[in-house]
Amino acid sequence: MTESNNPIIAVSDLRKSYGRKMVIDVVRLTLAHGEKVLLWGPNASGKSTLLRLLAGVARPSGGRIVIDPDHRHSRRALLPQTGGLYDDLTVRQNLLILSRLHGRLPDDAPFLALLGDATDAHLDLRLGTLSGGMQRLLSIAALLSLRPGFLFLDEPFAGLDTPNRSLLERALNDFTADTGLLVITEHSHDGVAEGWRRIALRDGQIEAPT
Amino acid sequence: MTTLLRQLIWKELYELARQPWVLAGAFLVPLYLLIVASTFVQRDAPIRVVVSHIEDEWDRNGYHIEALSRMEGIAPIFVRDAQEINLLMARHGATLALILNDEGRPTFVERSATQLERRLNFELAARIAGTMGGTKDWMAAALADYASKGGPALDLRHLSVMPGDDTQIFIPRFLAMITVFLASILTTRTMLRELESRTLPMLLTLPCSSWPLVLGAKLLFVLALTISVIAFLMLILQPMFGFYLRPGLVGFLTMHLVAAFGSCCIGLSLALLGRSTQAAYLSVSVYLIANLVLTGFISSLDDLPTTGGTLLRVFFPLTYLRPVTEGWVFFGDPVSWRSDDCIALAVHAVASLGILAVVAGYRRRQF
Repeated sequence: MTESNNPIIAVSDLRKSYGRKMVIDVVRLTLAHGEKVLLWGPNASGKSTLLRLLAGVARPSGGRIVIDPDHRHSRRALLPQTGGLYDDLTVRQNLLILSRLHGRLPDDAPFLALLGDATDAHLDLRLGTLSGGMQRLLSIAALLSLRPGFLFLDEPFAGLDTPNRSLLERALNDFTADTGLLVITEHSHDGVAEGWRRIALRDGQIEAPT
Repeated sequence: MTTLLRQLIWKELYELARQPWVLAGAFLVPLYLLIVASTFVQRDAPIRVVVSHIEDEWDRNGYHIEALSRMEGIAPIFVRDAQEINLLMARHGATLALILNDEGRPTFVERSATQLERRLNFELAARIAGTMGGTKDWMAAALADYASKGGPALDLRHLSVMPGDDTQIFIPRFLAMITVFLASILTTRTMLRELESRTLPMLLTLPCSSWPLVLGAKLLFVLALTISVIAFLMLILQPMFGFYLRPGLVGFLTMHLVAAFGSCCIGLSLALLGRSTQAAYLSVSVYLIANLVLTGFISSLDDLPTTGGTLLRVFFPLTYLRPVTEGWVFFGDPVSWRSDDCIALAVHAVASLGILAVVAGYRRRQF
């Protein structure tokens, strides 16, 4: 199913090419408020590119992405596969920068929910000195604390152990329960809990609704 | 949008403040190089002083001025430092000596006591320098102007010097170099940092954000930093090298701002075009080395064929910023907005902005 009721993002004839190589060719896709969407597919299937297009970071080569006027000014946040925050600054400093740029104070609740094994001391360490999993978790926590209306996460579970994966799943469930649209990418839909709308991508095209 | 621009500039400043070695380096490394290199130049470069013969004498309004304009038949006198020039001037009873370097650009040495005399001497020297080889009318105009300002009696002799190099020549060149280098390197660094840490998507998803806004914030931040460094160096140079702030400072800084703008655009373009951090830094290094080698900064390019020389120079802001800076520091020449150098700098800035727009558009399509 690539249609949603009351869509806040409507995609039609969306194409993205790099030179002669077409990497995204989506005829129709709609995403609704409160949805949790999983874009999944093998490597080079166009998941990250579609995510960047939906986030408004990349420019389509053709077609349209229409955002519902009521949500046009909603805050958006995108976390790429790697990085996404300044790794030579501490978590706290990154959070300060994010909150100043977004013009709102961070919300402690979603941030604290994702802290897991992290302590206050971790927040004052440079992000680059933390383990990969901890960096990932704290980066997502920082974005969640800003309560964006649209949240796009590229492979958020990569590098997380089982306890932290559960922690993140709970935090993402809480996010969509009271805010906006959440779109993530993964290589597989295995292990993703019920309640997610799953969209399979292959060679840049939506393969089959599951 | 204005709020976001302000916050993006604040972010750059905040990040810089978290890295004090970068901030200190931006201000102190140029100062260190300036002091070390100029001291080296001052001590080792012999200065050849040539005293020209007296061609004419003027005696108006109580001033006795001996002016020389013909350069042939001169007898060279070699000195090794400024002290010897002073002794030479004292021996000839001169309060102001005009000095020509090997490019034909004059500078001056003066022994006046008061600030007023320094200023008046300087203005007169600038006029003489500007009309070297012209008719005698300039001298009458210069004297009338001098007299109207009620300056003290002035003994003026015209010495000419053909130095290999000296501190006075080095400093303005160095200031021009700092502007171009600092602007290019800082913008490249700040852009590569975003690309390395993959934070550009975060900036582009901010409310009201766009590529021009993100790039514009970086441009404004680096421009402000570069001009701060130049102003800081000017303040330090005053007591250290005997320069003093003179009229035309705003125009001088404006031209440095224009040159820095062009360099920022080039730095951003190279950072966006680089396929890797190393490739981007390498291309910026090549650009800056070309600036040094092909603009006459190190050695004169007068021997190059006119067309080739022009083609080589035309792409580099240092070609035009150097004479503007030397003109103001040496002679107090106010910036003439219609001069070839200023027009060339403005054209360079606009062309660089155009290049940046094309490169950013290309990069955005690839994003």
